[in-house]
Amino acid sequence: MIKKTASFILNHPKLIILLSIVLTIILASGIRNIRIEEDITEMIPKDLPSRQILNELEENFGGSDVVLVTIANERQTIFNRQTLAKIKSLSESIEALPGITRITSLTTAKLIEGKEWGLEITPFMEEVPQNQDEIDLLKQNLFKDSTYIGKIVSADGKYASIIAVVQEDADAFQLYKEMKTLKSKMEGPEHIYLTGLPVITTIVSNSIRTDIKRLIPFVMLVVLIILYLSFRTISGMLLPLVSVLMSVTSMVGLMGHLHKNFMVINNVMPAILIAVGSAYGIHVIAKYYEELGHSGNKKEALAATIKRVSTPVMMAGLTTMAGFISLITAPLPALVEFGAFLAFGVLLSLLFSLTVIPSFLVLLPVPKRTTQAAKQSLLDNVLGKLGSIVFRYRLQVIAVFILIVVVFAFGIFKVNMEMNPITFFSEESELWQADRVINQHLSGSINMNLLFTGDIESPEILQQMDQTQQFLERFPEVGSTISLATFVKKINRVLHNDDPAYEVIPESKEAVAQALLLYSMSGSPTDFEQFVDNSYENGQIIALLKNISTQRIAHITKEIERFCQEKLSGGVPVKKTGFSVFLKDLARLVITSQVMSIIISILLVFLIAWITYRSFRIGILATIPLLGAVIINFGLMGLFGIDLSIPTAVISSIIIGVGIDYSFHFISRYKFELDQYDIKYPVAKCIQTVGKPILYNALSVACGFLVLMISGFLPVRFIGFLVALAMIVCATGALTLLAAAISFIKTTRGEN
Amino acid sequence: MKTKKFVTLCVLSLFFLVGLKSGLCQEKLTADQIMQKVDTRIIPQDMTVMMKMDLISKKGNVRSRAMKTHRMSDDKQIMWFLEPADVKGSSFLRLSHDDRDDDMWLYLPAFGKVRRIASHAKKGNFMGSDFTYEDLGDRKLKDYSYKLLKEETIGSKACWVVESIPKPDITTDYAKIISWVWKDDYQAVKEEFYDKKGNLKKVMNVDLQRVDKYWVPSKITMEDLKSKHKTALIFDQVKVDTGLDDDIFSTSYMTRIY
Repeated sequence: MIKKTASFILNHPKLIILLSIVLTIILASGIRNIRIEEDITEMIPKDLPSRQILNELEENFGGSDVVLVTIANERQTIFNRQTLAKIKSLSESIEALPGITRITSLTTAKLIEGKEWGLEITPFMEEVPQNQDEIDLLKQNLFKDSTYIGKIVSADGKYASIIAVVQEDADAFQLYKEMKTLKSKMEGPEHIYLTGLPVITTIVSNSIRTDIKRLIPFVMLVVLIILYLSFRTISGMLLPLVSVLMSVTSMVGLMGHLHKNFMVINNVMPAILIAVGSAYGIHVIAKYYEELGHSGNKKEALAATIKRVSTPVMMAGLTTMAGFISLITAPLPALVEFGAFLAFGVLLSLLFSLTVIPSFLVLLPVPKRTTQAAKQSLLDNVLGKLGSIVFRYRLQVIAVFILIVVVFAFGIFKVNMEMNPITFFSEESELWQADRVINQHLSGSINMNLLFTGDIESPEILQQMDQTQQFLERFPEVGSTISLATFVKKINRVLHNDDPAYEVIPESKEAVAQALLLYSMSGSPTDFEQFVDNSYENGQIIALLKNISTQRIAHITKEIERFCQEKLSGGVPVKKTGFSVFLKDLARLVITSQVMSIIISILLVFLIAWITYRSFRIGILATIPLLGAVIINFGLMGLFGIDLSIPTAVISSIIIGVGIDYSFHFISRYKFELDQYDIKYPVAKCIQTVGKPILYNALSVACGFLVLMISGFLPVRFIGFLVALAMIVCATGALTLLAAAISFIKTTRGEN
Repeated sequence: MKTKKFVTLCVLSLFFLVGLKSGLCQEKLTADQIMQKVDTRIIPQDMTVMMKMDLISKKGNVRSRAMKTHRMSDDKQIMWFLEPADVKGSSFLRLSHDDRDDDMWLYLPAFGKVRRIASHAKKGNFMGSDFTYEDLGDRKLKDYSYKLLKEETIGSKACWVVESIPKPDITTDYAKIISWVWKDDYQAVKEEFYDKKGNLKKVMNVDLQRVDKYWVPSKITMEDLKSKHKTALIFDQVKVDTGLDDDIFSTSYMTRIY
């Protein structure tokens, strides 16, 4: 079969090249459909209840995304004419921006005040105060009403926020650009901070763009250097690169044909495919040069190359595909696409390596190469020593390995889950600066929306909302809560001579309706738009949480869910959504994804090994270095504080899919040594012979992945670093642990 | 010039909308003359009307209120809420003054006691609707400069299109207002309001009906183009010049259930 295919390839090289180019062009034509996904919520599965509730919420209350613009005057507080004038002018400019539905700021939020003669409902700051008395009055009014402390002004008076609600169909890019312009125009001496999901979204998609532009050329450069060092011939340098670039364009093109967008993790797919896929071409070329040394005849050498290299290259490709395919079980669309398309890319690069590269080699003249004398290098000596040590102290080797793994295993318990996209960026970034200010001085930036359905104007539902808000506010991380109930209570109090005892929901439905009528006499028609729909059948509580760890958010969210189910009188169903709930749901999904993909990839790789070597025990042994590498990987993540996130959730699949190659390499050679020679120490011999290619291969893949460390995304940098390290771990694991363990099989077999 | 610092509930806009049935002077009038004619057209002495206010959200959901309203001359108005049932019996009184902010009172039966509420003149929204008092005609002729832009036909009626630009020292939400005025009866039937950035912010449309010798609105709609929120005021059972007693425009009358 392989022989026939080989002779077909070698006899029709031009046809093969033509066909593969046509295939590539057809697939690559999809690239023009590729878009950068701008909506981060697209990372969340569409069937997730909290996402469906979000749609319902937006249906009833309009877009729920907000941009927070914070004006800071740390030196003398915002209560001076200049800063207040800036707040007013910024508020007006932002409100006028296309894509902004409404804003809440000092200029729009209303003071509800009982006076001896009646009531007053006016914006806190309609006009900029003209003198100190007016400034003092404004200050006094703001801090009298707790509704807005932490929301539009910080308790210490040094920060003021403008909360701008963004339309669902707004152009986040344009909006961010305009806001940046406003910021640079108005900044100084006050600081202006921008944050909120639309801002994060824009920064994320800009970084995706930059990443694509930066990573691909760099990986290509690194691969070229590796190829040059390996072969020192033009064809040896170019052919593996060309074949892998064909598969990269085809893979991305197929994504385009299927209208898949680039999200945070997809942007590294080309780089990963180049790093992983170029190895197959390297294999083919290396073997070809080796065979050339034996025969000197180009076609014969190529035939022999294809015959010898097909199985190992296909094994390597299949296992890598298995690793990526394991992600298909992930409940997260970004991970599924990442896995599926990379598996496809690997398949292509494996096919191109076995067909296109030999076809070119047939057509090209035999390169003039100074055949390097097989010098006994330092590495050979080291490997030779390693071989005898591993064999002599095999029990100790196994013990040391287990010890290392156990030590790292403790780190696993420290692994932190982080789903907030802000953690994609370093703590010095603009986003974090803004976030820190909002966390320390204002209510927070992570929203939680609790939807109530029923007669929202009824005292019963308003009381439940109120109870829920009181429960929420018991958590120190909950910065503020607001709902229609907040206003009803406030108005009720004002209607009773500002007596705090009356800051409750009135008992009759009429009183509620009339309190709201009173407010509406001075309000604008959209004042309550975000709290209750026009039919008063759907109402929501909007809570703001500080940006704390996803794990803490998950905990608080669960507590609140329990409260709503158990403690809330009347048992009205409350639907929960918002960014905090997404974070909690994503955390759960990522854990599930992670566990599933590890189990499935290990299982697949084990099955491939079992079938290939027709030995259950060898199948098990082949996977042991991988398990070690995966445990060490998570241990490192725990010890170094690297978060488990959507991007970093792909690491274990890559480790398992790629790292198994070294086990296979070793086992194949080991069986070969066993069959071919009657030697005393097959393990030692094996380490000596196969050690170098395994280490070289691991190093070159590692170098490819290290390029990811120049990414703009922290998790992508971690992928680069951790996968690179894991490759070394897998390679050394194969050469030590696997070698030591496999020698026991030999012994038992020998005894039998 | 007569001051028009008056806000009616059912029809502040009456001021503009109820016109002199002056002769068909199709002569070349200047923009100032047109607006002066609009300003001085005849309006009823008093008016009683059933008014419905529909607040229409972006999604098209409607929230309605119904009120019975009385207004007298151009500066007194009182109204009683009829619907929704929860606010029935609540009432609102507004007395306009030339020299100071208007006085407004609200009576809420569930809380007892008539209360004054502070008004912030023009910029405030009329009862939580998309209309501000300014939109509803609380404008002084001398506060604006006018320019005749063009002539246009709306429905079957020939209109002047007049641009009003506020003079620098007055408080207003707008940079300019463009009005479509019937040539034959000096009724403004459409107005566009532009914000200070020059963007079209709101559009008002007026349907008129004939009651005795007056033109009075049957429906006024205002759409906020930014929030996509709309308000429709619908006027029914309009009675004019019935000789209303001045006494009913008092706080003591507010607590009567209508």
